[in-house]
Amino acid sequence: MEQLLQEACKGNKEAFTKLILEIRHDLYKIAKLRLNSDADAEDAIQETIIEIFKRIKKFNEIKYFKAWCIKILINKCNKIYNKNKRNSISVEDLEIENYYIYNTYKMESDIEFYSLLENLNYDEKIVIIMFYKEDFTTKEISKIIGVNENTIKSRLSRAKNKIKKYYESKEGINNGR
Amino acid sequence: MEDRIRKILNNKIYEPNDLEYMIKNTINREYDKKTKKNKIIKSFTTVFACLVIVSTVVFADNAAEIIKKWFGISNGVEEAINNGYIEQIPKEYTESKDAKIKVTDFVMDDMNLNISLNGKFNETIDSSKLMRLKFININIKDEENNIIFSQNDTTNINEKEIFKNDNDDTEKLNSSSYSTYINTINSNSIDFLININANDLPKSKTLKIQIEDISLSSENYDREIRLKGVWNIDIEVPEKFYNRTSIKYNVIECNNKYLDKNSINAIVYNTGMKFSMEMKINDGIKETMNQYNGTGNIEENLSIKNNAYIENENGEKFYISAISDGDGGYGVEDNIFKYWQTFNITKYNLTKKLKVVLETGKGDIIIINLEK
Repeated sequence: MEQLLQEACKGNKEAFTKLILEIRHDLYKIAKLRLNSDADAEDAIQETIIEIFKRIKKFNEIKYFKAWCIKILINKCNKIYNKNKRNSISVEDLEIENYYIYNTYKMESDIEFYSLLENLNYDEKIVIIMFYKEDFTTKEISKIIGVNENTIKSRLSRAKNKIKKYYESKEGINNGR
Repeated sequence: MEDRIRKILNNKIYEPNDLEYMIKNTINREYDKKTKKNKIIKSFTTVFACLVIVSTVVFADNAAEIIKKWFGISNGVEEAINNGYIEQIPKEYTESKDAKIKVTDFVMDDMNLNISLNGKFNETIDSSKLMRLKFININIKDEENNIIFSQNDTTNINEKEIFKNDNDDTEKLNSSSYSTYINTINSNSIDFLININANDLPKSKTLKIQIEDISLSSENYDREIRLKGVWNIDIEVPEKFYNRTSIKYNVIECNNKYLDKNSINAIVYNTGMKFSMEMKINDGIKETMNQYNGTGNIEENLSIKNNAYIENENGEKFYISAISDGDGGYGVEDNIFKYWQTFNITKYNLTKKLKVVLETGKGDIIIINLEK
């Protein structure tokens, strides 16, 4: 990845494409936390790529590349989310519509993924995914999101408790309790 | 619990089919923006000449490079290309009014026809925002002059005629899908791909492609450039494509008593497998279904979910290709439930025995064991 980033910084299109494709699954998952519709998620990713492309020449810290991309993506997602709200599209309606869409077509692993997150609010979801999926520390997450580290820690703890309760109740049901 | 969370969050989830394509296209566009000259193609007034060029074929030696560039192809086509099932056609351009075009790479079996082309514009264009390509008219004919694919701007894309004979109006095939992708575009040239999925493409030694006018437009269709011209391109189909074979699998056993074993059809081609089966809806099924769902929606309860797969004896699983709606589906007709699907298993992944695993809407698992 380091080599790819160096090449991408020099303007190598192939390297840049590979670099983005390598992180596309992460970008999509994060975009979907904020934006339920696939079209909006793709728009956010597209805008993120353009932003990365414009600024990559000035960037060469491989260690923080993914964090930097995610930071840009979160901002783009927030913009689209707020725009949807302003345009008086009911977020609840969108959620219902999209819940139906992704629960109709998707794979088994989707059910686990979305069920795990469904009881969390957006702030908790983003912290959980950055901590457990992206392996960022709470300090790194606080820098990416721009929120105090202690707040990140309390969101993480709250989210974990909610997930724990979710599993306990689920397993309780499965055990016939 | 933490390991469990990690595992679930790291599992692959569904992504839109065009995500990778969108990313590549966005990057191509951004790079092109940097280099292109902002010159808009001017109007053309002269009458165009139309040249017919017969191309010859050589082996493709860069399968991996091609796969990287080809968008919208199924995993099955990718597997076939990886196994050398592709040919390069590197020769002359066919010239016409606003551009010259040539075929570059070619893949064909009973299910898929993939043709990549390169075009060079006669005058530079402003290629910014151009992401979509549409033929105003395109016809592809086999050696007997049967139209195997036809599409024009005035017809609905889902109502294409395929295999309609020039001389009589007998439609032999009715299921196909079609897509075009721009690989790269700049002010001087374009690389693009035609993907056609059908049920029974002919084993023809030649193909004649006629393209009339090409529309290049932005994603939202707010910008369009029309390339005027008629391009007649003849392809001598390489022997490996017209002498291709398919492999039929027979049913050994099935765990579903309602399924008509004789109706199960499983044929493997170079780029994928076509699978179909039928189930007569009798009182037994109706009763079982009604126990499950009071509304008695038989079609929904029998429906096969998209997590269906084929497993070979090496334990490898091959899922549905899902390139288009034409590839698969289900429905009830004359009291018979029909299911048909295209899977990504190809001739290059076969073992003597295969297992088909299907989950119904009701949650039943159907397992069908097949043998060559």
